[in-house]
Amino acid sequence: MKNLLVVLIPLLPLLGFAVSGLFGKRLGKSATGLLASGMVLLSFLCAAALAMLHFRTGDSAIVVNLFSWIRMPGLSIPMGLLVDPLSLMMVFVVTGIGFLIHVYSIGYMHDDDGVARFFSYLNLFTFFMLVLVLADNFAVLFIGWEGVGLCSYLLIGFWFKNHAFNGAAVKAFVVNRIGDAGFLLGLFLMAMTFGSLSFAEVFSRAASFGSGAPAITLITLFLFIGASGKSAQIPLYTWLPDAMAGPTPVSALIHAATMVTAGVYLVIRSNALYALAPLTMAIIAAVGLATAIWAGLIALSQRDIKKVLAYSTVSQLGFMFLALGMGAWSTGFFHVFTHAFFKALLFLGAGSVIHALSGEQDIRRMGGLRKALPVTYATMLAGTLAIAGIPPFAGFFSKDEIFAKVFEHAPALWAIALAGAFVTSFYMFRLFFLVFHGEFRGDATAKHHLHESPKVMTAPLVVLALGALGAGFAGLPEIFGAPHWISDFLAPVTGRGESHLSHATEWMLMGASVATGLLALLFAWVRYGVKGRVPAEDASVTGVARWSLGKFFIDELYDRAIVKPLFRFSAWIHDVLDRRGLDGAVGAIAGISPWLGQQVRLLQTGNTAFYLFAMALGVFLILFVATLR
Amino acid sequence: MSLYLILSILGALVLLSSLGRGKRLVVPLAIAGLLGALAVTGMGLGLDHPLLKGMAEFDRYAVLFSCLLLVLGTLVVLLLTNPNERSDIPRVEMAALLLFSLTGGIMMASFAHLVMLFLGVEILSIPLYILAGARKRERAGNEAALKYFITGSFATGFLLFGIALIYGATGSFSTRAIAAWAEANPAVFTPMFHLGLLLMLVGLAFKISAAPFHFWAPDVYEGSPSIVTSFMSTVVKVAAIAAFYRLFSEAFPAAADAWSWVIAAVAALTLAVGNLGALAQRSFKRLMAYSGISHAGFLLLALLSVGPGSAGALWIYAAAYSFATLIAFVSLLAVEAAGGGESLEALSGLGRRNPFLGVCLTISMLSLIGVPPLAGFFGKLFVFGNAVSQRHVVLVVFAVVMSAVGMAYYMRPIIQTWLRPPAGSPFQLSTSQAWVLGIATAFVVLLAAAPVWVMRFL
Amino acid sequence: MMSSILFYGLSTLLFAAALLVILSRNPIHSALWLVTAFFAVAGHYVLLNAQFLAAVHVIVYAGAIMVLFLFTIMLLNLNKETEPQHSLLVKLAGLVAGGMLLVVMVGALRRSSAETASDLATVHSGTVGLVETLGKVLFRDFLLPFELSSILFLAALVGAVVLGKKELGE
Repeated sequence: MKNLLVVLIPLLPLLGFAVSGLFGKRLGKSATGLLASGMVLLSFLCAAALAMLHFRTGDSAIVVNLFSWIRMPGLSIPMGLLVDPLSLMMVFVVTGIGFLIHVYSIGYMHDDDGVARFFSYLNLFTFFMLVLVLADNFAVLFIGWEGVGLCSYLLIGFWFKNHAFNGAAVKAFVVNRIGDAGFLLGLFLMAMTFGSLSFAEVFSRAASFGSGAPAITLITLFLFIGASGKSAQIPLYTWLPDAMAGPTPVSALIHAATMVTAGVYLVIRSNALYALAPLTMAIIAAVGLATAIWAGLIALSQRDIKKVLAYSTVSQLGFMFLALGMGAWSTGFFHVFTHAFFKALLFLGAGSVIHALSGEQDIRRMGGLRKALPVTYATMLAGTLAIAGIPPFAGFFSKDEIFAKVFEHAPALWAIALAGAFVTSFYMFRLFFLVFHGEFRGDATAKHHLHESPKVMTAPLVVLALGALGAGFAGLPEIFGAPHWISDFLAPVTGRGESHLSHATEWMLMGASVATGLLALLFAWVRYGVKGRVPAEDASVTGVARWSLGKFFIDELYDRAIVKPLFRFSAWIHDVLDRRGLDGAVGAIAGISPWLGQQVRLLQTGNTAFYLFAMALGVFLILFVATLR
Repeated sequence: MSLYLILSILGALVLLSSLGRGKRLVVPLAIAGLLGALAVTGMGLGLDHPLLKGMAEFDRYAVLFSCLLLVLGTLVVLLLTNPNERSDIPRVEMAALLLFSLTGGIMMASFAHLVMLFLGVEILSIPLYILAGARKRERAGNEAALKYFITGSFATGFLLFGIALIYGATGSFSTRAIAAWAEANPAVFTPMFHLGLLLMLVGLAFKISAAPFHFWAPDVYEGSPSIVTSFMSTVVKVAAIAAFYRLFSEAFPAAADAWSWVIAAVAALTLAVGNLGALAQRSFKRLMAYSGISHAGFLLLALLSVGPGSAGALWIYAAAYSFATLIAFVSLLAVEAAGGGESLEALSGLGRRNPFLGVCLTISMLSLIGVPPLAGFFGKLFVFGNAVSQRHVVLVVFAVVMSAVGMAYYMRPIIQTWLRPPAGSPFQLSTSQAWVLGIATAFVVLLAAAPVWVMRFL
Repeated sequence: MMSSILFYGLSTLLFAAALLVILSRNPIHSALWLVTAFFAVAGHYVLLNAQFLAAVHVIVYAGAIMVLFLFTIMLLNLNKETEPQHSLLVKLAGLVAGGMLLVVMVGALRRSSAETASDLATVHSGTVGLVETLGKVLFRDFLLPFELSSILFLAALVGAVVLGKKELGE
């Protein structure tokens, strides 16, 4: 029963993909949408049932081996699924938030011709994401890893008629490949070092290596390269903002809530390895913090509503890695958890705004939308408060926990991170006030056209807003005297982090971060709410702001200096490679392939007469179909 | 023209050298000649000649593919210096036959006239029918030669019948005239023309070992001496796909509707058969035969998307594939020489027996999988990219899945090499093997820097 | 009218002879029917106004190649008894494959008779098939392939020698 539930979790979205992909046109738009959403919901319910049945009794993990995928002396890799507290939580995030986004998409994509294709891709994505989080070993995880990458390209390039969109898909593709190369090297090295790719075996065998063993440091570094590709960390972050070319629900699902956190998940999952590699941890912390600040500064002056959110995602992922660099695994995951709610909410809210403005994304053409879009306004406010870390919204708790851990290990970094929090709060409220307050700055037709989104879109917003408000209570700080539910639940996987801070210090830290958030709110309110400033046109921007607007010209730097040859060839692919990603999609066929391989081998009878017969048959079939056509 | 002359004279000279005491000079002579031919091609000396008019054309496509064929040919001939190869055909004749076959390959890359194409195919094939049976005294050798000959003749029959029908319909053998005719007669189905076209397609599909015309390949590869197999799986495949692409992009672009679905279907079937078949193999040589079949499927994808950049994609893919495959066969030759067999187990612990060979073999397998940043990755990237831009998305997704299956069997040699205990004592590579390995590996690694150049050149 | 009658007569002969080649149990009979088929083809060449080709065809195929076949058959002492007996399945497979190919080709080409007849009419007139014309075409337009085919023959020759000769001490 339990095993069946485990298998059903990823299988249902796959079924949805097959049905909506094959029969989507015949089913019609709304039926396809309902079907796709329903499959994800069912998957969520399966996970819930599993949690009720199994995890209440306190057992730690279920392993289901479907079949042997690669088997040979020296290395055998089963197609295995693993459900433990960590993967179960991820499944809840993926299916729960995924379901809401599916529902939202029914409304958002209503006027698009490729609805069936869209939903089939979304379901396929969900399938691969579930494979990724449920994997029992690194090889299966890699299948999911490549699969979500593939779906990401498919969905970024969904509106493939537009040329720039294709460019974005290609960029995402190439940058992710660099990360994947790192991941693969890590896997090879791991197989060589440990003779296995299974989580349990690798982690137990790693324990016999001392802390700081070169092999482990190297493996963890390679894995981190992979993680930083998928999770958009310096220096591989440039693809994520460009990926906003895809439909907004996609940005919400893939490029905010789920796929980009796969890198964080990978590190948390491998915490037993990372704990043995202090050098890698230091690098992770440094990269995470740098990314958090860097992307935040860029977000300060972006004008595209989705670009602001994209850089904010990069920045928040940076905070997560900062926590991981401190060895605070459950803290990092806590932020993944809360971030999924409020970032999905912000993106969907942005989508609702864009929907109301018929595709306008420039915040200089918005303003004063709170009257026209009351529900979107209220929910976006919740999301913004959450990301800015204002209590009692979700972001406050998780961010505060990160800051406490950082302060504990390195007070200097804490100061920098606090500055990052200030920036975060500032750009988010800048966005919020520019969009919803002041006067509408678009033209008359656009003003006339303003409307609140349909219920099917606002309902998920409301649910997510409740999440953004309440998700933080899953991890109350120790000083509140309540149990830290997330940390307790994850303890079998991540171990229990000890805090040595005095209560007074904790209160002080909390006060500092809340004060920072509020201060930034105030600044933004004075500047954009009261004075009603609007970002200047590009030409008149000077000084530091110009650098920020130009995203510090990192893209240009890449273009001109670092990866010039790479981008020259990328410019070439620009016109040839249309939109679709390439590698990946491993899993589906792997099961039956050995059997099929056997059949192919049996056909090879060695009998020349049979070969000739097969050739003649082939010719016949070709000609027959040709004449019938 | 100069290229045809150099190669045919070289072949004759090699034959003559067996008369006196020149036997020792055979390989150096052939290598020198081939390098000369490469230089001539590279510099474009006398490639064009009034005699070629309407028969062949050394355009950039032909030059680039000729260079690739010449480099591959040189490397295979270089391997002939090894005394260990089991073969009952003297080295002199072997070298001469390889050179003749290479000439045919170059004709296939440069033809502008169906007669030249047909002659090229035959000049390429006939020496190979003989070489496939080089193990004269072994049943497997005889069987390989006979099977190759019979199935090959069958395919040639289709090719020839196709050419005849095309001539009947269009009144010309010239690719240009045929293209013009096809453009002027855009009917959906003109029986003679389209039947001819499809029959030619079948004939060439046989040569690149695409399914369901692939059955000969595993048996013939296995029965032939490894050195001949290495030639078949590199030079022959490259020449055949070059001719295939040249024919369909120059003569039949206007009739694309009539053939693209066939290519798509054949490519899908080939990918499935090649990759799935390889999974079940225990012999490294047969595994490489199926690998060759699967890559024929990927190469066909390039053919599906004729357009700007597709020729470059084809070249990069073909080069990446053939250099990596050559490395695999040199490894096989070296292991055979060290007393191992053709099975995968013979590769056990290769990394410890000869680290250089182990590293080269690993790089080759990784490139065949398509791991960045090796040449194979760029080949796949461009080929898939092109196919996607022509809206063959389903096929590309299938190909991607199949390349994932490919990972499973290409990993097996790597695992044998590094994770298994050595199957024997350490051994040395011969000088020529080391050179070939080094050069081919350098190509696999460095081709990653070439795509831009290739694209701009074509 | 006359040429039509000849055409159909020759075609029937060719078809029947070709069938008998593969149906005869006795290899010698097969070979003889093959000669008949070659003659019928030569007749077709004559109908197409290609007398030289017809003559060469008879000399090369019906003469040289046929003799080679017969020698081989006799040297290997092939006869009814030594002919391998194929299973019914193989025969059926061959029949099915061949039959289907035939049907589909006939089906496809049936529709083409009208459109190409006019183009082919030119073949019947003038001096197309005479030695002089053929020579001019072969040594002017087709000189390159003509010369290159020597490589083909050289390769085949080398192959025949290599495969056929006995090694020292054998």
